[in-house]
Amino acid sequence: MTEIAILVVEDEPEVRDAIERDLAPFQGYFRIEAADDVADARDVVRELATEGIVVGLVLCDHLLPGTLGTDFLVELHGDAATRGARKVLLTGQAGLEDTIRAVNEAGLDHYVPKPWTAAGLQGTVREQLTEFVLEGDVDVLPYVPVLDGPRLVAAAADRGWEGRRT
Amino acid sequence: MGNGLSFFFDADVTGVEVERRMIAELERTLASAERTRVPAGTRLVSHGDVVDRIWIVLEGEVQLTREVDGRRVVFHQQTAGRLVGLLAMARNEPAYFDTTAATDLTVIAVTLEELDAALRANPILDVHFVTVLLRSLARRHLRAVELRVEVDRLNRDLAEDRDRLRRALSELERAQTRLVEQDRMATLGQLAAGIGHELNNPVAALLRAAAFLTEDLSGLADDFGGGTAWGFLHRALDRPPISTREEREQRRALATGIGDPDLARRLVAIGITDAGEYERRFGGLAAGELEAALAAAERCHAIGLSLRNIRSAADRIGGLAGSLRSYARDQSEMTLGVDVREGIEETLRLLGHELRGIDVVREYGPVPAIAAYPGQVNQVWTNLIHNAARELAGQGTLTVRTAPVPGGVQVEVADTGPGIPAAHLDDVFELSFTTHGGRVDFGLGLGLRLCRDIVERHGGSIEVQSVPGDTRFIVTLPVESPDGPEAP
Repeated sequence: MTEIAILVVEDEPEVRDAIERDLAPFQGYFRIEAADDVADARDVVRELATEGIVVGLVLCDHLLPGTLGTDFLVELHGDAATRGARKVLLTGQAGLEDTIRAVNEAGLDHYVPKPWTAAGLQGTVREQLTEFVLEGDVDVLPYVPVLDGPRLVAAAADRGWEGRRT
Repeated sequence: MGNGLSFFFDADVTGVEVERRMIAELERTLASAERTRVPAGTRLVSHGDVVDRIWIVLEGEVQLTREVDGRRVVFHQQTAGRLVGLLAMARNEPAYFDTTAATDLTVIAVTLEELDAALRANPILDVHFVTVLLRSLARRHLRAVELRVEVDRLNRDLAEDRDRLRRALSELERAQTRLVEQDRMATLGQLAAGIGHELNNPVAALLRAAAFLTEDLSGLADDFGGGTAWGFLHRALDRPPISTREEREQRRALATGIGDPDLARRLVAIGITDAGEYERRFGGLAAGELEAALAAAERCHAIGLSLRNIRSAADRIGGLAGSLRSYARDQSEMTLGVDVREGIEETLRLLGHELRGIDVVREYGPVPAIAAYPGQVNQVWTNLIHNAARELAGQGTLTVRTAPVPGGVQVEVADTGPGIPAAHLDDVFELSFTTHGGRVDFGLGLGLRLCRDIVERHGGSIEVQSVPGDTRFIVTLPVESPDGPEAP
C-alpha cells in the first residue's frame, strides 16, 4: 500500500537523521526518501516514478549545495507529475524574497523554521499529507490511523465508502 | 578764472572748490543768508517730502538713507555733497532719500523763491549752480556704478560661500555615515565576541556530556555482556557518513541479495550492507525473534547516531564560536604580527554556509606578518568573500591568493562569476552594496567603499579587475601601518 512518498532534501547528515527520525510515525504508511542535494533529489523523484510511487510531500531545506531549495520547489511545481505534491520549506535561512518566490511560483504550502519540534513537524506533515490524500485519486481509509482520521473518514463517507473519487 | 562754461569741465577745479565758490556767490547774492546750527541726528528732509528749499551745508556731514525691508541703509555720506535737496528740487519730485545730520551742522536754508531770485540776479552763480548740479549728478551716478560693482562682487562671494558650505555639508554627511557604520560594526563585533565567549561553556558541556554518555553506555553494554545489539551503538558512532545516493545503492544491492526491499532498507539503515552479514547475525531466526533482534539493533544504532550527531553538531558550534571570537577581536586595537591568512581562514569558516557548492581554492604564498586592526581587516575579507559567493550563486570557483610584495602583503580574492560590467568598474568602490536574502552576514551591507576606507586607513590599496569569468579584488597592505606602532 506504500504508494505515496515523503521526500526530504537536506544536505547536513545530522539534520537529515533528525528529520527522518521525527518522521518515523509515518513509516510503513509512506515511503520516506532522503536526498542530500537537488541533483540527488531529482534522481529520487525519477526512481520513485519508475516504481509507480507518487511524491506526496517534499520537505526541503533552502540553502543547499548547487541549487537552492526554492528553485527545486519551483521546478517540481512546473512538472505535471509533481505539481500536486505538498511543498514545505524546512529551513533557518530562507529570506523574505526567496520565501515569497516559493509561495508565488512553487505553490509553497507551509514553512517550518529551524529548529523545529517533533510535534510541530509531525503536525505539519499530517496536515499536508491529509490534504494530498484528499485531493488525490487514492483510497483514503488506509491513512486514517496516521493522518487526520476524522477528516478522512468524513470524506470517505461522502464518497460512499469507496474511498476513491468517482 | 571762474567765468564762462569752460569752468564746467576744468579738471583742475575740484568738486569741493566748485561748491565752495558757488556757496560764496550764493551768500553774496542772497539778501539774507542766516546761518543755522543743526544738532546731529536732526532729520532735514524725509522721503516723500516736497522739497521747497535747499540746505547749504557749511560745516558737518549729512547722511542720505532709506529704509529697506525694515532696515536703514546708508546710500551716501561722503558723496552727499554740500547742497541738500538740490537734486530733488531739480527733478521737481518728492525727496527720494531721508536726509539726516550725521554730525552737528552749520547750514543756510534757501527757499526756492530766494534761489530763483539769486540765480537771476547773478549770472555767475547760475553757471556755478549748473556746474554743482552736474557734478553732483555725476558723483551720484559714479556711486551707483560702484554699488553695482559691489553688489556683483558680494553675489559672487556669496555663491562661493554657498558652494563651500554645500561641499562641507556633504563631507560631513559622508563622515557621519562612516562613523555610524564603524560604530555599528564595533558594536556588532563586541556582540559577536561576547556570544563567542558565552558559547564556550555550553559547548564544552555538550561535548563532555556526549563523551560521558558514550563511555557510560559502552560500560553498560559490557556489563550486559556486550550483546549483538550494543555493537550497533559503536557501529553508528564509528561509521563514516555516506551520501543518500550511496545508501540507496546499498539498499538496492542488499534487496537483490535477500529478496526483501523493506528489510533491506532497515538493515542498511543500521549499517548492514551485505547479505552475508545479515545471514550471520539474523539468519535462522524465526519471524518474531528477527523483529525483536532487529528492533534492539535499531534502537542501539539510533543511540549511537544521536551521540555522533550531538558530537559533530557541538564540534561545529565550538568551531564557529572560536571563529567568532578571533574574527571579532577588539576592533580598535592595532595588533602586531597579524597573519592575514588566519583572518581569511576564520572568515571562510564563518561564511561556510554561503560557500556551499563553490570550490574554494587557497593559494597561500608565504607572507610577512603585518601591523593591523585584525577586526577591521577581517571585515574586508568578509565583504570580498561574501560578494564573490553571491556572484557565484552556489557554483564555480573562489580563489584566495596571498603573496609577499616589497614592504607588504598582497591578497587576491578571485571568483569565476559573471563579472562586473566595465562601466561599473570605476565606481564599484563608491556604491554601497546591500545583501540579498536577509541572511545573517558579518559585515552586512557594508560594501566595498568601507573596504577601501579600511585598507586606506592601513596605508594600503585595493583595486579590481574584471572580465566575465574572472573577477579579482586585489588588496595590498603594508607591513607597517601609518598610524600604528612601529613593527619590532
